[in-house]
Amino acid sequence: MSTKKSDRRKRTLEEAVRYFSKCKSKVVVRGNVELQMSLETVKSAAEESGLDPQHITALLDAASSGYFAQSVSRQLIRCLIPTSQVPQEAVVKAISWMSTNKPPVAIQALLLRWILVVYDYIDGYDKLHCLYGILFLFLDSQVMMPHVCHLLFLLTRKEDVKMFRVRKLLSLIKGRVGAQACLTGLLTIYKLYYPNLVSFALPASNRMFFGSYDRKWKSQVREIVEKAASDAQGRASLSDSHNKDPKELSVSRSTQLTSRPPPRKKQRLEVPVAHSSSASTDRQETTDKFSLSVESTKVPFVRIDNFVNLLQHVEKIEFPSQIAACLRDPILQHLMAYSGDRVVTTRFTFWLQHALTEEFLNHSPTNMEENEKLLKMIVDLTDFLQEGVPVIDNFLASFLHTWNGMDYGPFIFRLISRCQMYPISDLNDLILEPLRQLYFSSSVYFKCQCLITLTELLRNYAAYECVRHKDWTAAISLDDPSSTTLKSAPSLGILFPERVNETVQPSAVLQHLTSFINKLAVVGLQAEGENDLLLHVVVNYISVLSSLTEHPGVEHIILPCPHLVRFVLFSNSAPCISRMAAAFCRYKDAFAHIPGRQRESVTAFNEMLVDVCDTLWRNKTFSNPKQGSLKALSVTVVPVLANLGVWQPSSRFSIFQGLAFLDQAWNFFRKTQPPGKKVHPNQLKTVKDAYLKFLQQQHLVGISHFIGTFITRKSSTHRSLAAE
Amino acid sequence: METPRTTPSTSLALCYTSPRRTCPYRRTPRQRRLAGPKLSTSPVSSGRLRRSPVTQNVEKPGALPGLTNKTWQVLYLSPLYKFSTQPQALKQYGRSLATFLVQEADKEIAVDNGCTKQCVFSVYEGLRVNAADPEAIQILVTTKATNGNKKTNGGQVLLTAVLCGIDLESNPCTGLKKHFTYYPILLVKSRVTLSALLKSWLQRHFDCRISPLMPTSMDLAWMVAMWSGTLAERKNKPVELLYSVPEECEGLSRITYTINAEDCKTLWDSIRSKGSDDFTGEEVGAFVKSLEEHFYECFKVKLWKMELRRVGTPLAYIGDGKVKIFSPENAWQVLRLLSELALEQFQLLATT
Repeated sequence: MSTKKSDRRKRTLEEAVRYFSKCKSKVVVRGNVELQMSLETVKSAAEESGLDPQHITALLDAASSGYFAQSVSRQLIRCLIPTSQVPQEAVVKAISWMSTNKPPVAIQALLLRWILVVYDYIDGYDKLHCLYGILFLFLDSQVMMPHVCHLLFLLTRKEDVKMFRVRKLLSLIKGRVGAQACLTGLLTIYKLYYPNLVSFALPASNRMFFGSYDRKWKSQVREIVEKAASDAQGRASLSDSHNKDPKELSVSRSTQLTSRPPPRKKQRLEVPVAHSSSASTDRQETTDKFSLSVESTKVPFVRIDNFVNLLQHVEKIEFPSQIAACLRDPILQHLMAYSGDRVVTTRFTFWLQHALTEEFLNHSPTNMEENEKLLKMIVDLTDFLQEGVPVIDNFLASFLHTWNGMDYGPFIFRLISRCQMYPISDLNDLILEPLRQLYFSSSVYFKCQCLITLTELLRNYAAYECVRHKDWTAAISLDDPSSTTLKSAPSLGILFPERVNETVQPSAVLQHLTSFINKLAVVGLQAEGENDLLLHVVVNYISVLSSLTEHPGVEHIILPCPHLVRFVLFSNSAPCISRMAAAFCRYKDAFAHIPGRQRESVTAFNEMLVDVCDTLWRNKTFSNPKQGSLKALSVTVVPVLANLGVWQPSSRFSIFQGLAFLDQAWNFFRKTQPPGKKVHPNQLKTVKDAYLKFLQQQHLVGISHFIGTFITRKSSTHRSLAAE
Repeated sequence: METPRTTPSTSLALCYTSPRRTCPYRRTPRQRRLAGPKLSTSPVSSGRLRRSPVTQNVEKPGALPGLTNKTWQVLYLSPLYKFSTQPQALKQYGRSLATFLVQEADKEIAVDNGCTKQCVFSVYEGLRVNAADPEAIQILVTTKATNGNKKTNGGQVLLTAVLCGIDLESNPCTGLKKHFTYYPILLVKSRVTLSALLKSWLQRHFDCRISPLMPTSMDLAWMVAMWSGTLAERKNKPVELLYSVPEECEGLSRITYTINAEDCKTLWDSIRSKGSDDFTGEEVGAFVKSLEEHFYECFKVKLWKMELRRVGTPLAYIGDGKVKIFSPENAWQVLRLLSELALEQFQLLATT
């Protein structure tokens, strides 16, 4: 024993810890100054910056040995705050001490609380997990039960769920303890893993299973650890960033598990929530897929709570017992898409087939909102997969035939645009024909939606389905056809391979679909008197068409029909004309890049091009004697225009005099000319370049680009010079 | 433009022009087989919906204990995943269902041996007509004998259910039989809450989906037409048609139309073309139309504008998702048609 005076001075932490670890018999507290001093030292050190792992282990030993009075042990345990991590050994030691029954029960409970407080900072869980069975025995102590339950809850893995444990918990609940929240909490996680072992209704409430003990203590620990971490980061940011990830992960793990959402409210249209599959009595292979992983222990899907987790276990995840849960769960969608397991997709298909038939087709719809939710989930799924699901296509085929054009409108349109590629006749019968009937009997807004959907379908075909089909046929021709179907499907990115039809000719389907849209659009524009909205939709369609060849699966250039081009050309909308002009520029690039260009499409394109040039720029709309499709029209149109008193019909639609551009011309003059001066659009011809520049400023970029691309202007330079 | 839906045959189409009568999505087969499972000697005419000949090893449907003269709820299912008829598996299902039921139904937490309910899954013999049929499974839930005397064999039966599929034309899980078992129909007799629990247990355990099978007016017309010609010898139940009256008519909600079984038989004989096992859509149309026109002559009520909800035939009583079968000899016939309807319902989307 040392004297009082020398001990007043600051003692190092080392000494204090040494003092505690060397005590091997009961220590008197009263009047023991060395003990007090050491305790103070440890406390202040812990509160300031936390303790190192080896100190934690030593102090823990001392605190739980029972040599010190309860009050001392209690204080010691309270200051076991880690700087960064708690060694797993210390935790295992704590449990070992608890098992010896040397420390009093209150201290044992405090030890458990300490483990819970530092749970996120333990440097490993494997050894701790081995003590699961031992921990379970502590449930008998009423004082420790809540903490034991919480710790077990955090530690539980699927293999820990055993019938005898469930029974034990049940007997506790039935016995003197009653149904305490912590016990039901533990049962809840058991139920998640084995619904059949714990198959009863647990109170579905939002309440916390485990009361939040030691909030202050926890926040103290967190503060110190964070402080230490930020200090360390300041010192060596590079090396530390490496260590940070696992810690973050472990935090998310323990917090996510405790805050797992309560079981959702029962709905009529029960889309199941993911839960673990039931224990099977036999160990038969449950999938077609050959498993490469040697390790056969499966991780149940309920354990996967974030994407990182998914990546870690991706080869050995066990699918939940109801696959349809993937409609709710994006992680499960990832897993399903990755696995490409035929059995899994079939399970999903069967479920969906039944659900869609039952909810939409069998009776008059009763529960629109629920059905809408289901459709929304399906739309999200197809968006994620970027692939049509055959069952849904079949559903559409049935549904469209009696669709009124309004129910579930947006969702149905979205699903149509995701449809798989079918032979022309099937596509026509199943999708296009019903749409056509609705198109002609509905308002202009429906027409727009319809055209947008079909354009989107066209784009989808070009972007995904063509490539998919190409790969598929290539794979089939490589292998012998009998064996390919199952193996190569997932590698080609086809999740539902059963409907890939080899007889489909993608280019023919594209052609057909285009000509279908052409017809709809032309008649629609006529019927709706060139509605502005519809015109924009049509121009959008033309510009999608012009960029189709950017997708690698498309080999041929597809042109819009000349009627459509003329509709836009003679319309009153400058933005539309500009966008179409831009589309023409894209066509030029496409022709330049595509290797085997077809003569017919080149001539057809040139015809249209001449028309546009004549009309917008050359003032030869109906008077070009050699080229252009408008020459044929001139015989009938020009006399009519003449009768109407239209002067110079050939220049009436140009960017200088055209009605569509009148607004721009007027604005141009107002900007450039003094007010009050009399102007005429004809004068624009003298300042072509300035005017084109002005148009560009007005966001009509397409026009100037078009002129720059297609018109060779020999005289332009000196003419503009002259103007200046 | 020809649509892929086959329109009902002409006479039926004439008869059932009202939208109330037809289910727009369903195709009605041109013919259905009337007679029992025949050996493959019966001549097979071409036709897409003609049934394939039944294979040689036909088991004679035997006595069906507990199936007849009870009102069953009819449900149709999607294929069951990982269902096994091994005794060991069935035993495990029983245990699992028992705990599930006790906990969910009684809202109490029970220990395994403290279950007050006992569930037994067993193979139900005698419902297998075709070798390809799945083995019918009976699910029986009883209260456990409380005095522990097991010889009295428990107490009250709380739930009886039969999973079956008879003489199926095609199987949706062809090629995947290792993983899936297809039972088109599930017959349940119990309280609603308990059958709902059974439903959710099955859905969860076998990743399937279950809904009530509601035969449409058209299906019921088929039944009444097909089975009116079969008369049970002793007690002839009258043929009964129950129509629901549109809401617009006040003071009248339904019309029950009862016809003497013998009269029906006479009508049936005059319509039926002899020497064929198949019953055609034209015959159905003609039969129902003549009954309805007769009613019109008498009461000036156009029954063909109304929805047929329930039919009583000499074989069975069907409607509103329920069935009651009268005689064990013809039970398979009723169940086969129900299986067929369930399959058609389920494959509505698969066969476009």
